[in-house]
This record gives sequence, structure tokens and C-alpha cells, in this order.
Amino acid sequence: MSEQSNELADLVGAEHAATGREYTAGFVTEIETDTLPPGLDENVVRAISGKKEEPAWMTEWRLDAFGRWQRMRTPRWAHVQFPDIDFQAISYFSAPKGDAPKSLDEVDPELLRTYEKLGIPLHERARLAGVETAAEDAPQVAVDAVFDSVSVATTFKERLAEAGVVFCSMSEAIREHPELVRKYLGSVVPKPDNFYAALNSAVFSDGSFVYVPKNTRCPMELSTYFRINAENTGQFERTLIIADEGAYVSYLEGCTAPMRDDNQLHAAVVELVALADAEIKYSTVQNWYPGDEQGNGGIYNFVTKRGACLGERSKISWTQVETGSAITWKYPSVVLRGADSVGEFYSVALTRNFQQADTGTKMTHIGPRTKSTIVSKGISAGRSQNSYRGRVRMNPGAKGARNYTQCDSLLIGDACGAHTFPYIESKLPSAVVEHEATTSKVSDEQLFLCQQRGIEPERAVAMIVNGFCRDVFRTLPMEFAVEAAKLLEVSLEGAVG
Amino acid sequence: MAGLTLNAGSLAEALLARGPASYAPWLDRGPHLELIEQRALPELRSEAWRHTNISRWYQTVLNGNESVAQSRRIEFAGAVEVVDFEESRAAELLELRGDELYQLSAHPIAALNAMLLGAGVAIRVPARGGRLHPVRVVDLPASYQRILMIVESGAEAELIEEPSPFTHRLVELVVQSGARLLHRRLQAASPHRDCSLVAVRVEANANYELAQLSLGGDLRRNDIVATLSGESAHVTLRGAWRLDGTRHLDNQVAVHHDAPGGTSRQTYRGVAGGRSRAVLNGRIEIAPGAQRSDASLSTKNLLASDTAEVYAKPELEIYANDVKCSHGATVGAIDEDAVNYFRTRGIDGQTARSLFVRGFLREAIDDVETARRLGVIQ
Repeated sequence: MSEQSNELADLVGAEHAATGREYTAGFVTEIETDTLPPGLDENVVRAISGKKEEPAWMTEWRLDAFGRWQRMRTPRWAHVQFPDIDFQAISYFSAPKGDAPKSLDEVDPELLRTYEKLGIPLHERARLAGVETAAEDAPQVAVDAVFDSVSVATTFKERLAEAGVVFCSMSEAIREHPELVRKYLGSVVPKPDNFYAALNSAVFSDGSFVYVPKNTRCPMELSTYFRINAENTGQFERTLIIADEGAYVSYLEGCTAPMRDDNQLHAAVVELVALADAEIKYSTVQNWYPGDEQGNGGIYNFVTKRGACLGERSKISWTQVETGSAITWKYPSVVLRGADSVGEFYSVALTRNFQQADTGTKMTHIGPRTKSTIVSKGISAGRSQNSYRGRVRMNPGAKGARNYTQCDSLLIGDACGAHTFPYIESKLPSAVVEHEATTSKVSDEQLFLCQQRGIEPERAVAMIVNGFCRDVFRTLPMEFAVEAAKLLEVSLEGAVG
Repeated sequence: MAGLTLNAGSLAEALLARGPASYAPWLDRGPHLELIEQRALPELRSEAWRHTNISRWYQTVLNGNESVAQSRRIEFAGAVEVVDFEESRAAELLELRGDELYQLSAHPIAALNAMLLGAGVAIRVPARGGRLHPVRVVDLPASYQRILMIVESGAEAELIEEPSPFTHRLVELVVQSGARLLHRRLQAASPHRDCSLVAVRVEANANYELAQLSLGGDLRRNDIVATLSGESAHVTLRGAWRLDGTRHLDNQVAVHHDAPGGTSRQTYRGVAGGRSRAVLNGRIEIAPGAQRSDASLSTKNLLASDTAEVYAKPELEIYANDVKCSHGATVGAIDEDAVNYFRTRGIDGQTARSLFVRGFLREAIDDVETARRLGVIQ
């Protein structure tokens, strides 16, 4: 190890001990909740379904998933280590007390303050007021706020309804749009897809539902903000987005949780359906509580995300910036069924302290001339382990299909690990698969060059890391890109010199 | 045993009933026996056997390979010491090897090699032996074979494995500090099912170079484990394959950088036609503290038919920060534009394709004569 790196490592230790990295979203909201006691059996599944006043078909669907889950074993193949999860010690439902609010005015002010504190405005008026003075077409974002197990508010519903766009909580969708839910729920991620997807299917509490009708461009960005607040609960949200023929929607997802010493489980399922000529852009900035510098606490983020490009020329694009969670274990994937459909995956995953990440994507090419692009940037610092795992499969029907994959890893400090596990499977000659991966450290030359020009080491590393991630950031919606870059910078604070 | 379908469990039963081979009784078969007793042989569809149906190989395990050679044939000259595993001197050479060169738990079928061993040869290339003629292993007279070679400090040696039938072959190589070993493995097309494991330790400033040409088998699996155990060791692995018909070739390669300053270069080029299946899993592992490691892997594959399959999995597992690692993998078809370019210059399509494949494979092969003899290139 060079002197300079040593210096860096020293700074890591020193700065870190002094300040630690501030996790600004780590507060707890004192609010009365309606929480199921810990434990999981058929009665709990029925109770969740009952609390949400679901129709019988939904209860049956959940019970079927529960039965399948009971016969499944916990998967162990990921490059992550954690003690066995006691599924009977988790509470599967927690909601702020009281009837579901009919409008924003009925939402508990304590909750509204929580979201304000997190920088998520739920007041449409406030937002609109701002717009009056700004440009007419300033971007607006409709937000669905999910607090523990339930959706507490969805903004801009009327504006969206004018365009025919349905944006509501999953519970509402089950009531109001059962035909769409029945048709598509579980169609992309089937109940027995994997252990955590089966668990989610049985106990999912809430999440967002989006339907964009034919030839409609959703008039604003849609966003869901997930917040875990209660202790010893798991969050199991379920999101379903359907873009009908020729539709376009951009969807953003953010998440935070309080700082606690226990690990909390977050096992979500996200399903995207793109029909012919439709496009879905799904962006995530994941900032769940990562645990403290000794590796205590933090969220286990075990998520199944998958999109189906069902129609011709459809497109699904995943962008993720992963900085939080004690363990991240997810592979946002695309099944490219429609001819000429396009799948994209852009990812930045930053791990530090004792964080572990095993993340990547699966691109399954089924239709002819389908194309996929994968760009993954992994940054490991501290004593963390960061793995890219991805699979590109060319099925026999995917004539003329193409994939390009680039995954790069950056190492900061000598006690972390960076790993790459790509699976390439091709069954036809006319498909082309290209994969490249590199691993390196922040080079001493680059740092030296910056320092020569009077740039502080910390600032220099942030700049280098930012440049390293540029290919991914440029795919994010503007405001999100700024937030992501800032988040990365904050996350790197104290992790580098 | 013919007609009996064996899985990992029933094979273990049969092996325990039969007991270890009587060949080279001095060999410590304890850990191997234990592995079989603990039923730790790989099951069908285990991760390491995703693309090779191990039960097809299990079917051949007890009967062995009927076309195996009748006698030992090894060609060498000069000061090289060659002894049979039956001789007590082999035990001394094994002592010289030191620790196991591979982890039995990662390569459990090597336990079958120990249990059923029928032919083994230990080779020592003495230090300061001067430049030596190649050691050519032509035939070993049993289905379960073992080759141990120790290249002592500063010596320079060449080992050639000629195409020869077996069911399992274990090759253990130690390249002591400052020594150099050039290893050529030639695998002709085979109607048989065979597995082999090459495990090599490369010590400080030593150099190990492998060139492997293969046409695949009814089932063929090549495991290679190279460990750079000393500072500034160097490893070069090159592999080329050309498969047709229903040939199967599964390459599982792991390069471990255990010491600082090591370099490794891996280059693989393969063509899969007919209904064949080609697999390359190439892992680079950089241990904590193995700073200034420089490792790269490149694998390129051509699919020459609609029914052939290619699986590539280049992996990086890195636990040190001052490293330079990269891998690249491609799968595609012969570039028809390139073929058309040849045709506009009066070279017919078939010749053009053949030239193209040849040029492609030559990126990984330097020994064109052997490649031609084996039919890897035309």
C-alpha cells in the first residue's frame, strides 16, 4: 500500500471516529400505531387481508402464496453473510392509527411533518405556490407516501386523473381496479418466484399502483416515498406499474428508516409491465439506514424487481443509486419478450463500514432484435463487500439480439472487497453479448494531480467518484441526479480522506 | 454395474462397499474416504455443475474407461527424475510438494481419483538442470491417473499431456521460486466422458504457462486451479476449443493471487458448432494483502450453429485495493461483413470462414502445428 493510501486510510479512521457519517433520516416519529403482534401464520395473513378489507380472491391469493412460501428454503447463494432471520419475531403489519385519510387535510400533521423533514413535500398547495413564481412548466412530482405498512397520502391525484393516469396505493387499486390488479399482479414476479417474493405475496401491506392508458404521456414524474418507522416490523410493499400501448411514465422511488440497533427486513416486490411502444423509466435512490460504523443495525433490503417488455418496441429502464441498507440483495431485471424491445440497467452501489451489497440485473432476451444495456458502478469502502451479479441470457428466439455490459468497481481502503459475477448464456449465433469489467482503486496519480491544484483529498475523491458514476447519473431525472450526487458525497464523507 | 443409474448417494455406497484401490497403498486416502462417507460428492444441478450433467459422468465412474492404455508411456531425456507412484520415492516427492494444491471441498470429485487411483507418475526437474527436453506424458495405464511434477528453483521445464483416455486425471504442479514451467494440454475429440483437475502452485518470481487445446468429449470437464503463492509470480493461461456434433466442454478455472505483485493473464477463444455446449467459468481471486496484483481475463466465443450453446462466467473476487483487474467476455457469430469482404477479393465463403476461425483461435494458440494435428484449426 502506498504512503498516500495509508494517509487516506488514516483519515478514514480519524474523521470517522470524530464525526461518523450523519444519517439525517435516522429519527423516529412518535405516532400511535395499529401494529400486529410478531409472528406469522395463516391467521396473520388473513388479518392483514381483513384490515385492508380485501375481496376474497385477494385473500385466497395471499394464502396460496403463504402455503408455497412455507415449503421454500431460504436462499444462501448470495455473497452476503447474516444470521438466520427469525420470521416469527417480525411484526407483519404496522399502520398509523385511525381511519384512512380521505384527503391531505385529514393526514396526521405529525406524519406530514415527518415527510417535510425528509424533504418530501406532500402539500400540493405549497408546491403549486412555488410554481406560480417559477416557470410555468417547472417539473412537478406526484408522491405516494408509504409509512410502515400503509400508504398515507397520494398527491396530485386529480391532475393525473384528467390525463387518465391511475396513481394510487395498492390497497385502493385492489378495490377500484380489480380487473387490472387480477390480470397483472404476479404476472411478472410469480408467487413462488423466490423465497422473499413468496413471503411478500403473502403479507404485502401496501405500495403503489400505476396505470398509464394508451398513447398517454404521464404529465408529471411519479414518486413513492417509503418510510419504515415502527420497531421490529418488516416492510413488504408491492408496486405494480402498467404502461399501456404507446404510454410513457417515469417513476421515482426513495426510502429511509430510523437508526436502530436491530436489523429490519424490507422485502418488496416491484412489477413493471410495458405493452407495445410503451416506456417505463424506474429510478431508485435507496437510502435505508445502513447500520452504524460497527455494523450494528440497518435494513436488510431483499427486493425482487422485474419488468416485462411484453409489447413490440417497448422499453424498460432501471436506474438505481444504492447507498443505504446493511445488506442489499436485489436484481432489477427485464424480460424482453416483444420484438425490438429494449432493457436498460444503470446502477451505482456504494458500500462502506460493514455494508454488504449483492446487486445487479438479469436481462432475458426472448424476442427478436431485443437490446439490453447494463452499466454498473460499484464503490466499496471501509470493511464492506460489494458484488455485482448479473445474468444475460439469449434464448433461441432472440435473433439479432444484442447486449452490452460494463461493470466497474472502485476500491477505497484495503479492508473492503469488490466482486463481479456475471453469467452469460447464449443459445444462438446471431445474438451478440459483450461484457467488460474492471476493478481498480482511486489512483494515487489522480489524487496527486488534484492535490497539486489545491483540491482537498476528500473533495478530490468525491470528484473522482462522481466522474466514475457519471454514466449512471446522467440517466436519472434532473432533480434526482442532483440528490444522488449529493447523497453519494455525504455517504463518502469520512469514508475517504 | 452396467445398466445401474448412479447418483451421488448410490455411487458413494458402491465406493464404500468396494473400498480404496490397492495401488500405491502408502497414499493417505483419509480425507477422501471421509468426504465420500459424508456424502459430499456433488449432486446433480449443484452450482459448480450447472452446465454439466454430473450424473452422466457418475455412470462411467465404476467401470472406468474401456479404451485406456495397456502400458505407461512417458518420454523424457536428461536429468529429469520420473518415478511410479508405486515406488516409495514417490512418497518423498509428494512430501516435497508440501500442502495440498487445491481444496478438496471445492473439488470433491478428486476424492474419487484418490479412491480409485490406478496409475501415477511423479516427476522432479532438478534445480540447475539446464535447459531440458520436454516431458511428454503419452499414456498412463488406468482410468484414474495422477501426475505430480515439481520444478525446482530456477529450473526450466516443459510438460506435454498428449491426448489419452482416462476417467479422471489429477495433475499437481509445483513451480518453485524462479522456476519456469510451460504446460501443454492436448485434448483430441473423445467419445468418452472424462474430468480432470490441474492444480498448480507458483512460487516467488516463478512463471507458469498453460496452453490447452481441446475438441471436447461426450462429456469433458477441465478444472484448473492456479495459486500465485509467492511474490511477483506470473501465470499465463491460454485455452482454445472447437466443438462440433454433440461435444461438451466445461472449463472451470480459478486463479488465486495469494501474494503481492503477482500477474496473471488468461486468454480463451472458442468455437461451438453443431449441438455442442461450451462452458467457461473463470474466476480471479485476490486475497487480502495481495497488493499490486495485476490480473486479466479475456474470453471470446463464436457460435457456429443455431443449436450450439455457450455459457461464460468470468468472475472477480477482490479483497485488496491496490490492484488492477479486468475481464472481458463476448459471444457472437462470425462477422458476415468480414466474410463478404473476403469474397469481394475472390476468396469463397467457406475458405473465408475457415481463415476467420483460424485467426480467431490463434489469439489463444501459439502452437499452430499441434493445433493443426489435433484439428483445432484446419
